[in-house]
Amino acid sequence: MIDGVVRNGEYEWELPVGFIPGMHVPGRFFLSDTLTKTLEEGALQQLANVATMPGIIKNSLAMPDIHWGYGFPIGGVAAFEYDTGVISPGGVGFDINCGVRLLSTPLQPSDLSKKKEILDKLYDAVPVGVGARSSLRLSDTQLDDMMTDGALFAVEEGYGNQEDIIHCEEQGRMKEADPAHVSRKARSRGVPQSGTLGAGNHFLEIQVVEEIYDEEAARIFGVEQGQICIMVHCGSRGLGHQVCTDHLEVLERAVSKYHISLPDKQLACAPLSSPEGKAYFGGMAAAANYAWANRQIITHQVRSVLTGMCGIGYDDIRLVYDVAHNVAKMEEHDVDGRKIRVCVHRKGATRAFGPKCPDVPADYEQVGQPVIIPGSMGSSSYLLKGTAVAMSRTFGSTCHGAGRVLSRSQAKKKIQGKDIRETLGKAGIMVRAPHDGAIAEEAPAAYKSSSEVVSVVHALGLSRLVARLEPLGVIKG
Amino acid sequence: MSFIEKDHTADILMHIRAPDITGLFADAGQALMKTMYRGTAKPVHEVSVTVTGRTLEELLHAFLSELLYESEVQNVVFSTFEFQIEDGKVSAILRGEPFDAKIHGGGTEVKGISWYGLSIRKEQNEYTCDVLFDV
Repeated sequence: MIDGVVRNGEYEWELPVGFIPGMHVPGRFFLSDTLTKTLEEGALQQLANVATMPGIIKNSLAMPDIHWGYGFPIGGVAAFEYDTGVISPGGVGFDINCGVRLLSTPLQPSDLSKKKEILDKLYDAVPVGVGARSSLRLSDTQLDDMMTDGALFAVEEGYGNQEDIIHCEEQGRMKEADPAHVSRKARSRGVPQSGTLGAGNHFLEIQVVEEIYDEEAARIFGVEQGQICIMVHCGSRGLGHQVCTDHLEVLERAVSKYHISLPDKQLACAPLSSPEGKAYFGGMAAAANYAWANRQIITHQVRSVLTGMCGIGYDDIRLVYDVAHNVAKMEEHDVDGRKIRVCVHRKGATRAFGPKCPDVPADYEQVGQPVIIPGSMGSSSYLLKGTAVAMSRTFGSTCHGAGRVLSRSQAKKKIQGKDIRETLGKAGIMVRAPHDGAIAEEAPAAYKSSSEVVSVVHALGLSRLVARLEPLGVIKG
Repeated sequence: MSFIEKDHTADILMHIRAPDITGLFADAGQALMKTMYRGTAKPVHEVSVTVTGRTLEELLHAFLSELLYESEVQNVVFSTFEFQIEDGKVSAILRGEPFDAKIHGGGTEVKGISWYGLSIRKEQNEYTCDVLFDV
């Protein structure tokens, strides 16, 4: 382990105050011995940098999928007091409200005799990859409504049902959204991309529930062994990317205006109560709502294909839950025995609220919030549940996925997309992608093991395993 | 064209080198387009852009952000760049052809241009810089 890091338990490590100058709180991260081998020094430096930001409370945290990111490490979590703290796009990322949703179906693997045709139809129905355009033609008013109302906008336009709304984090809508802080450029990137999947690590998968770890929670979430599910992983597309770019420019100037001392320009931020901080928060929330609506529109496209191909009803395809894993939110948390309002940044980290917490849907209240952890292409994805431990230790947060270990160029040098396609095919996993290069970049070997990552958060109680899902068909952007 | 991809786990880090600043901007633009798209593009469609900045790095960052924006919104793969670089301002004519999935599809989506390590250096007879594309 890197000099200066202190081990505090089997899976817990600390960067003491003083690891770098200016730290207000210790850094804390969670890794198994296996995962320490993939830890980058740059990611730890970023974790320490976050600890120097004004108003941070308790700890600068990182989950077991920690890796080098923009500003914050990916897997980073930090909470800031409203009165003294800041908000930073570096703690959210370019892809605002990148997230995951899990849909359950009444289908079994034996119902997928036409799997290739189903995958082809899904590939045709959901625009994927760089340059793909939406068939929707949003007016300016509709785009405003999408950014204001999120998933509800999509449902009201006919892309889903009311139960979908209940089963989204924040009910698919951050009420603080302010489209006035979304630029003309961001809007023009958003219009042609509504209902598109994007590229990179985003995917749409047909999965089967392979193993149940927690029967009661699985029953309450409506998931059972052998069931076919659909997982959708995408975010706020070009609109969110542009919101980040636009506000970074403003916040870089705010750093000197408010005399904030930062060790890294990528942590550009402004006080939460400042006009610049409020403007970013309003724009970010609008982009987050766009992302929830986007995943809702894709859900409708999936339902349309499956109802047509598999003889099941539209409402038989149920939204288990939808989580955001790149976002900043105002939440109330217990800190040293008092409830305080904080801005929690989750950058490649998933909210994991425990039983009886606010915003957990009433039908899940007894077990806690579903937590969805997507695997890399061809590997296991997981359904977990939020816990009281996460509430007390990590501001109700857990990991978000596997985390890369190979760069895209290394992956393409070492791995041929065609070989991956064939290997996965032999394992019964079909892949559709615009190009084999996209498959190579996202090959399973380019990522940490999602199983190892979730085993750490399960062992620590930051969330608890409910079910494991295995891919049967993959659409990559 | 002179750019090479350096190793970076999460994103795409490009090392650019050129004999002059105009060449550096052009090669950085090529690096962005070659990341996002495959194949070649004929210079049949033209867009003019102007960006401002206090330093060369700010100008390069602003130019690449504008190129990303124009390419995404116009759905055009740009292949040639003509620059006029003055103090605090870059004007550019971007030329390329409309995106065709069969020719250009299968590239990597770039979300934004990072400030990570963005520093333009003069080394002997050439200019160099690293640019990180957030993907």
